Amino acid sequence: MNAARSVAPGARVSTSGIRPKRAERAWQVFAVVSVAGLSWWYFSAHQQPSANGYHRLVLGLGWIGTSLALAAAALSIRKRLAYQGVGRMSAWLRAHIYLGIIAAFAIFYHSGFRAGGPLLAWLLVFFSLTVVSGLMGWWLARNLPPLLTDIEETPALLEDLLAARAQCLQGMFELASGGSADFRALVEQHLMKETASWGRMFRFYRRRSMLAQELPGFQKEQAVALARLRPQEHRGFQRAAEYALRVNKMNAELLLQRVLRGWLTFHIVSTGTMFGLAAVHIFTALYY
Amino acid sequence: MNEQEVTPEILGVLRSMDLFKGKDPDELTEWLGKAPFEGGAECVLRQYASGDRITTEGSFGNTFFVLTHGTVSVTLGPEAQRLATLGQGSFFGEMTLISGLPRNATVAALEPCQVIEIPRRAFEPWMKKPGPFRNTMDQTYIERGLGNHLRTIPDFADLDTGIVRELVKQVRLRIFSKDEVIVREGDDADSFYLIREGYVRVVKAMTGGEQRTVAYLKDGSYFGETALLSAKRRNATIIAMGKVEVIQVMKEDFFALVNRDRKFADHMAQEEQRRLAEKSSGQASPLGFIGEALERGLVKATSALVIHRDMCTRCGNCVKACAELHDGISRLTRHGMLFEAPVPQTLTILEPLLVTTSCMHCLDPECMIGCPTGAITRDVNGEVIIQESCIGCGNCARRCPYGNISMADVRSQEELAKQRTGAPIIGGYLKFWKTPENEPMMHEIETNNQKAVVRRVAVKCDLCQDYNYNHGCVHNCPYGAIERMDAGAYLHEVRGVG
Repeated sequence: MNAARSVAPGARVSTSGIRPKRAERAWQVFAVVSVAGLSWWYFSAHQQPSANGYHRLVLGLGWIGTSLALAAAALSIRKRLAYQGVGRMSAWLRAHIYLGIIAAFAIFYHSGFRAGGPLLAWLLVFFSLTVVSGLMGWWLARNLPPLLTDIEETPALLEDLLAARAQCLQGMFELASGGSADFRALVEQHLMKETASWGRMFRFYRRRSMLAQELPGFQKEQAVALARLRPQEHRGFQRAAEYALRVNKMNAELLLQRVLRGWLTFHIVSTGTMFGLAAVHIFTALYY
Repeated sequence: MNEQEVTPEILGVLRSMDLFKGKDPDELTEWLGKAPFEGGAECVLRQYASGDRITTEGSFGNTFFVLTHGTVSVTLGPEAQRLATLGQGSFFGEMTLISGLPRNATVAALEPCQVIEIPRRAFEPWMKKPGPFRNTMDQTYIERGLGNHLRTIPDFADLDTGIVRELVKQVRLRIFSKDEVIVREGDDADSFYLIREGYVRVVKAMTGGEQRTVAYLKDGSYFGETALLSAKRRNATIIAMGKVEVIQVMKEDFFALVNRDRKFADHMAQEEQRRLAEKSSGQASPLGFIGEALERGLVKATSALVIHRDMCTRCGNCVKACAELHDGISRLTRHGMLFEAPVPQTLTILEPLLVTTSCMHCLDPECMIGCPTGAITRDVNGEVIIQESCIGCGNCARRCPYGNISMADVRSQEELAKQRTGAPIIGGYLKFWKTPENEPMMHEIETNNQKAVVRRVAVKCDLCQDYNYNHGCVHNCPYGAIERMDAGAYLHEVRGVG
């Protein structure tokens, strides 16, 4: 498959992840202009303070921020209407990201970067968590897939990886149970540790290497353990070592995939809490 | 067509045609009038008013036409250049059935016309048997195909019409299958070849005996003239990379052509000089990704499903969407061919792609050959679809070279009700009563200790045709990492072939 690398002299593999498309550029321009407008409004109102102007600013920014945050949150409705022909998910996600960024500026300006009472302090904390987790998700989505691509043998989803890993572990146990007591002890005590070795896992990330590149070195490292076995068990041990390395590599992939999915839970929980607190805040502001 | 529509006049016209020579009226009536489930063709009698379009250039079709009354014009290109006028007893539209390619001309009625539209499943059985039908079709295919084909090749475009007509009578149409050798390096040169359809690989023996691919040639290219003009042996081996159609011009006919047309001779001499210069400078056609795409059949795809692996977060939305839209059975598996392909415009940046195991809607779909009920077909946009009449024989799944069609047991309450209607004990449960509608595709399976009647059918990507948007997988990818790609257009963009 890597024959394609000879396409042009000096060709390099893209590590840029998601490249901005035209639609993304339009959103970027819109976001920059909107944030610039909001900033100008905020800072000009602070330079020429008047009670009326300041009140209008705070109220206006509050309503703008809330509306934009609700519009951004409409992505969750799109997920529930996945098959109703309501537009491309990627377009909705772009809207979600850029409306969310504009909403963040509007709401931080609305707060005046002051916490106020406990309710407002918590609201600000959860709002900040929502923004940070969102930006983190955005960063992860751009940067983890290229790393995953570099280390995975075949593109697989989390569920497929879990099933494959279970098969490898099963293979290891079967090999161990079919051997002598020494062999079993060596597989269970020595190789099982390797399946969960963080150091080895990070080596996959660092070197961006495939299984075939790591295997010879790994088997060499096992030479000392191998010497403790009878010659007829060497082949079985080497197979078990291959399983162990494979499991470790799958763990490396699984960790990335879990991170790619896991941040969303954090984002959803903080967003939900933030909206709950915001509802209380709006109610109290309107009522009192 | 029902039996009343098969009038003596129509039979008279058909019997006067070379195509149906030797067929008796009863055989023709049966062929035209039989219902599809009885092995018939479901031919349709159509009437067209003056000016009506019968076929459109560039559209895909699964039928050919026999003109039983009236005249039609055959035109080419946006300027509607008139190629021919056909009258009663002519036929047209057969090119698309033979080659699987889009229609290469527009046919419109010049006066009120009556035509019989004949589908692929009526055409294929007669094409398999030697006889007048097949001979006439082959000859017409060469004449019409070569005439049109030569017009598209710059070096041949200016050839005198008379010479072309004469040439058509001399040449042979040869079809090669994948990996078949067309010419071998070192052999005597006895003919000149024009590629009508498909891709070939040019292989040369290097010092040390290693066979190296030095170029790929696509339809519209030609080879074999260098050895003829320089009176030497073949200097390369040419191998078919899939189904390839070539037009073979024998040595004597080639020299007759060169001697008669000065301009053509000059073209050939220039081409020979160019190839010699290229050889001496050590240049070769670009290989790399393009070569790999050709080798693995990607180039035939008109709508390959491609995942940009660097953009894909492995959320699985694509697979979920596909399963959700297709009775819980995903037609998309995230396995397939891995490529590192150049990014258009830059060419120096490669990006990792996964061409998934999903129907590529090939230019010449092999899956469509030999479907007993004609259930697998292509619509006017070229999309290959499996219709409800699939009986689950698995022929298409076996024929697909990429393994993109699978057989699945589809549970259906409607089918269950249909099977058990009428004779609940004898017909439904014991299956003594078999009808074309419910056998042989229905059978009973047991999963999780529950019995269910299922229908075994061929499933493949249908581009989500039944929904108000296309491609559920593409539509539901949050990062725009999955897309449909016309491989030919893409390859053309990243670098031309041949």
